[in-house]
Amino acid sequence: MDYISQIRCLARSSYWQNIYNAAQEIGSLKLFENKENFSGLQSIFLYWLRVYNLLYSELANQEWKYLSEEVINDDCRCDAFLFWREKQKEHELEQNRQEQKKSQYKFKKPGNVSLFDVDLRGK
Amino acid sequence: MEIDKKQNLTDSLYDLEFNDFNNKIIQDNKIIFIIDKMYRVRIPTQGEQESIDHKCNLKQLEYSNQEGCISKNQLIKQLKAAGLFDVDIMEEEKEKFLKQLKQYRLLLATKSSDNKIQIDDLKNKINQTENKLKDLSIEMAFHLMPCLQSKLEKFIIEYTTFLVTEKLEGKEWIRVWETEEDFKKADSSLVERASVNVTWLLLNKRG
Repeated sequence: MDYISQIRCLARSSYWQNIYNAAQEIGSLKLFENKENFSGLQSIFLYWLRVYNLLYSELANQEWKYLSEEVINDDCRCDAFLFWREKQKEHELEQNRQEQKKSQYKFKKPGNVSLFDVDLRGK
Repeated sequence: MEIDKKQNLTDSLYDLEFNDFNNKIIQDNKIIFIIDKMYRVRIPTQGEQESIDHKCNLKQLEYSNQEGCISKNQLIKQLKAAGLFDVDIMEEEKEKFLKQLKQYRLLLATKSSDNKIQIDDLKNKINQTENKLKDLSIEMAFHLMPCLQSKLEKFIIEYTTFLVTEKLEGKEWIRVWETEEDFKKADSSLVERASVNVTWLLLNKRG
């Protein structure tokens, strides 16, 4: 019995996405009947609730050309997209690191005033 | 005829349960299931968890004093030496399949939804690779079953199942098995189903 696909179906449903969004604003809104001792299934559900919330937000902002409603609703395609997205983010981070390294070694042009330009000769 | 009717009812209830997308699997920390009548498993209470931990410690001492007690690492070395099973080769196979899976996922992610044939083809390949990885895990678990760690893990699930499985009698939930003896004599289909659900409940909770 595989509960994961059922849980993902629930987590991406408009019902639970609306509840999740409302719960972030209304602190007293409970997602579950129990308020402690959460089960493994509840923990997995919370994970996917956040993932799908993020994906719907990125879809609304048109952040990724490969992200669509069809991709979100298909578990296999969704996993593939999440993996590709992770690689893209790693690649961007690496590029930023390289650019930062390069900028650290740029010196100021001669003639710019610096705090250490002190004329000690007194002429 | 009666048996057929009963089987049909059980199958129908199973289908309803399996294809049921309502909230019950996450609305609280219990899982309800049906085998002729209604049962449920729940997260153990603090007292029950202490009892489980205590029993586990006792069991570990018992197993350690038994003839043939062997740790996971010792078993891995023994199996490799005997030429029966090599964990290193299995890990290499697993890495190969994981690499394949990553490649297929990257390809699938960049396919347009209009490209149904290629999407289905890649999804099949991903499914097949995932099944191969599952088979490897099952084979590894099978070979490592006799080790101390696997036996203890099995015991924890069984003992937890004994403690937390309840049946609906009227409007009340009551424990199915009062004693460990009752549990050991129980119907295996109920025990198996309850154990699987307990494993799901405790997923991510056990390090």
